[in-house]
Amino acid sequence: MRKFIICIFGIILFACSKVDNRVKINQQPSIFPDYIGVTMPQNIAPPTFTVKNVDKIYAEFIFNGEIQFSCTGNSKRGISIPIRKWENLAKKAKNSIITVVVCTKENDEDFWKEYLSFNISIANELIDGYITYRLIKPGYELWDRMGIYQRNITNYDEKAIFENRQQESKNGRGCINCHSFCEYNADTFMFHARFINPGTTIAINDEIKHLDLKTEITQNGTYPKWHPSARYIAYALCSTSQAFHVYNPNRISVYDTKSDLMIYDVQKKEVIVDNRFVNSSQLETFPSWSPDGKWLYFSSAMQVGNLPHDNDKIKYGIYRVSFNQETANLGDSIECIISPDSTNKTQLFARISPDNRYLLYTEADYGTFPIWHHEADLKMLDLESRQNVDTKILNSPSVESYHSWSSNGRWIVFSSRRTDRLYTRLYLAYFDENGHFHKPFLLPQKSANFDFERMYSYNIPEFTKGATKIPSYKIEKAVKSQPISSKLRK
Amino acid sequence: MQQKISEYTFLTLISTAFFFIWGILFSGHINAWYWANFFTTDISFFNYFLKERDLLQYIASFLVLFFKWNWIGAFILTSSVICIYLLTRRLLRKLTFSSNTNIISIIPCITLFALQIHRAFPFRKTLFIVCFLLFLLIFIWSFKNSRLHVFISIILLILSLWIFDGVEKVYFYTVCLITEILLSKKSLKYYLSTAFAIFDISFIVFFFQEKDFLPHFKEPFALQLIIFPIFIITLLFLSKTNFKNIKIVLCIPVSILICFLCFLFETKNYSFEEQQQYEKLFCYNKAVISNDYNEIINLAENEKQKTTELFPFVVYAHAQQGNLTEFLFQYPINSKTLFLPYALPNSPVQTTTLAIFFNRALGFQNEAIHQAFSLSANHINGDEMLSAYLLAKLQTERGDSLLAEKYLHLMSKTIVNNSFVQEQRAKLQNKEFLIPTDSLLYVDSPQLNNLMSAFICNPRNQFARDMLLCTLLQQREYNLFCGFCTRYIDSNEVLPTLYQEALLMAQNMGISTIKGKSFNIDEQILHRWQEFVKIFNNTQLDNRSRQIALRPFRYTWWYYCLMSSEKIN
Repeated sequence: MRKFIICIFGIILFACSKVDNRVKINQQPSIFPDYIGVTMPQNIAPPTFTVKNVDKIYAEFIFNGEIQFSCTGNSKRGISIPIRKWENLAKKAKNSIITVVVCTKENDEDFWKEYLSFNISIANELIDGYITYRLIKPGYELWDRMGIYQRNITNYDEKAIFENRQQESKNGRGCINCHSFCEYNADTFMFHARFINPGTTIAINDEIKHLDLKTEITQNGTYPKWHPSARYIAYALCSTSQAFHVYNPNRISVYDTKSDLMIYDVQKKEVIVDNRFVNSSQLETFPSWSPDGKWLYFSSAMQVGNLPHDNDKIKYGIYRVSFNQETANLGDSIECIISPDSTNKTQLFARISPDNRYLLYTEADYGTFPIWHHEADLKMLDLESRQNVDTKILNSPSVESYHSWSSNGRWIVFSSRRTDRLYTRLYLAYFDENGHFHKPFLLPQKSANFDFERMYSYNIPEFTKGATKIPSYKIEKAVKSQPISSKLRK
Repeated sequence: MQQKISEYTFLTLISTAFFFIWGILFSGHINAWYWANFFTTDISFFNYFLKERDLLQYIASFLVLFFKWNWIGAFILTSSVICIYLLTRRLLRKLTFSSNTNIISIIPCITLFALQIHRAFPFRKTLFIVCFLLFLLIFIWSFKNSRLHVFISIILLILSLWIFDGVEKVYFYTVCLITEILLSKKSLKYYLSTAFAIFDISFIVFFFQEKDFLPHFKEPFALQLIIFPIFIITLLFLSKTNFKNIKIVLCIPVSILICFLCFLFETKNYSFEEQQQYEKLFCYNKAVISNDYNEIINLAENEKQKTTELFPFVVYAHAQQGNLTEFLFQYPINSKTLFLPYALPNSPVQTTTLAIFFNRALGFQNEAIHQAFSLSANHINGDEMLSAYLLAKLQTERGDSLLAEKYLHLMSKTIVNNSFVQEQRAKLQNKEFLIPTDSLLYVDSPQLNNLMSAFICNPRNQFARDMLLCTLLQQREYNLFCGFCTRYIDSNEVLPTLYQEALLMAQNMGISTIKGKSFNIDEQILHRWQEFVKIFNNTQLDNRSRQIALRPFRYTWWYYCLMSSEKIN
């Protein structure tokens, strides 16, 4: 027994010991995820990483010239960084830099390769503590197992807010989608259920309602956005279809045969429609409010006749219309913010920064569904100067699509398929006060290979300030209840 | 002791051989590994288990993986049957205090034996029965000490909550209750309170843990579990009789009869014909996955009844072998189109798998990948091995090394797929990819348009060419057929007989889309055409006589085209 304890201590001491006999390599390590030169918030989970095809990995975290702690690991699971140690280091390094030295070793070699060190900057501003997303398999109509999940980004905890297996019936499981939070409040949110218990579930603190938004002229809404007052939700009304490319890497062509806008008044339970936005010749989609609540932004395009073959001729621009939150009326004039004629591209997912100054959006060659467009990139417009902001650092040869601002406007989260070209992953990026984006990084996971191995895509990442406290069974009860019908107001 | 060992050895050998032969002959249960849940040897599968909270399913998924090797699969099945035999015998001895239980113990073992050869009887249920008997044995064993009994009962209760599903829990508690009543010598009040306690627990379980309790009863094999409790009770009752008595002679047939009646009761709404068809499709499917086209054709030839469900498999096999044209008018089903399999959500695995292979062969890579995703998504447990296997294969073929590596990485963590992973990685390394072709849209319907897209995308794709040209001929789109031949077929190419027949007739009919182009027509076909025309134009023959006279030509395009009432486009 004593020998055994001595052995264990020996192993622990060996594991904790410094790595001697190093040979310096004049290149930076090829780590996954790529955290080289990124800027992180201080309240984020430790950025575990791995180096592929090596037997042992060793990393030192240095601040002010002193090694704060070191970690070991291997290719398979990467290095594991203790949360407490990382938290302390990140707090100390606020507004400063952490230097990371990475060494690797093969079993049959008696020396360590020491790569050039790299820096991780720690920003002054915090990030909202939670991100909510949907996890789904990246097929086109697959919902055997899906759900809306909330990730605590200060550690690695992921909790289900609602999963589709909770509404399973003899007809199978339904689809749940399009979650939206009001003003980063984790307990004021909504989502849709389709096929099984269809309807829209709206939760305002402990009060949860299941609604039927269908009226004589509107169907169930999609792509929701809460007005900052928490009274209104804007929806698109889309009839979406899809066609498959035979081989093209952009596997699928998604198009709307019809697409309109509507606003739902949560207090009066009324569906509000404006005749200008219920028009078959024009497609309107992806509504979004300005944080001051005075403007409704949306994407719009002219409909074409021969779909799906002419889908590549549909190019959306970004427009806005003023909104009076007292009367719930939309203004008379529709202002074009980005015209598709000037870019010859499609612009979607307009999201205004919390200071109302920047418009972040997704640009693709055509159509309404950029997640299936490898050329889709994030772009930004300064609404004050009407100048484009350089976003090159955010983009990759693969898809960048859905995005959200943090409540302080210093961070964005966006979905990208750059990791493997199919499974959507979440990337975070810092936006400094000078109006520059910093290099984005993959949301840290407990195991460095976690995102490589996970067979689900992340959809619609949204920041919230806290965790959702509404228990899942209460949501389930509401979803299974008879939907409350809505009145129509023209 | 020696006699016992030889008895078990004999039983094990016989059973293993039986299962193995069954596996080879009928491709049933042994091939279930294709549809096993994705079992990996690391934490990710453990996470799945934590989410599903089904330990038995976890163990079953693990064991079913080994069914890939038929002998090991057969041995696992045999072991479970032997376990059931031993546990039943031990249980009966405990319950009846008699040692003459050998013969009677073999009956449930035989029943399970019969059930297990049926692929639809999930291996998980077999494991449940083993666990059930083991728990019951421990429960009965603990009777000798009342404190121990209480302690064991609590442990078993907790374990059963964790391991069994809703219906299984009820059976277990019910049998425990009956055993308690039979073996305890307590007052009626005691029995009633025990009954109340046990049922109370089971109700708590239903209402708070098993949200989907009711759907369980609708599963085709849920009621099968009734067999066992009833069987145990029957045996219990009968075992109390003296075995030397004449009643014992009746004991075994009565037990078998009860078992049979239970089985009948359970399957009263169950279509054996449907199940047979399902099994048949399974065999065809296996041949598709292993590219064994001769096997498909042989299976089809041996079928007594040619059904529409099997038709696409045969089409696929013939088209892959380049014999589609010879086969076209010979299959007795007068199908108007060649039928492109399209898997709807919740289609059976077989239809989906065939659709994947069909689309893959036609060049609809994205559609095939979509179907491969749906293979796992359409099944409630998801993540089937087959889905990952096909996705890895398809992504390797299209040269998407990042994605292919993702699936191969996952498969490399399993214990049975290493050779496949190595083979695919070598293909990626050697860059054995399909050449990307144009980007045309695949729209669900009409099918003919999709076939045209497939052919136009890659005219060298023989499968797509035959599928298109044969469909055009079957649908009597003669102008289109001639148009495609004129545009895409070389004048000197040696064509299949069917195309030659069609083109020869087109030339004689003066079809506009073929004007100015000559084709390589065989002398013999030309001669047969002249004979056909001679008989066909013989005005002295009435319709019936003409049909009889033209019978030697019944597999030709001319016969199909001219002796049928429909017009040619």
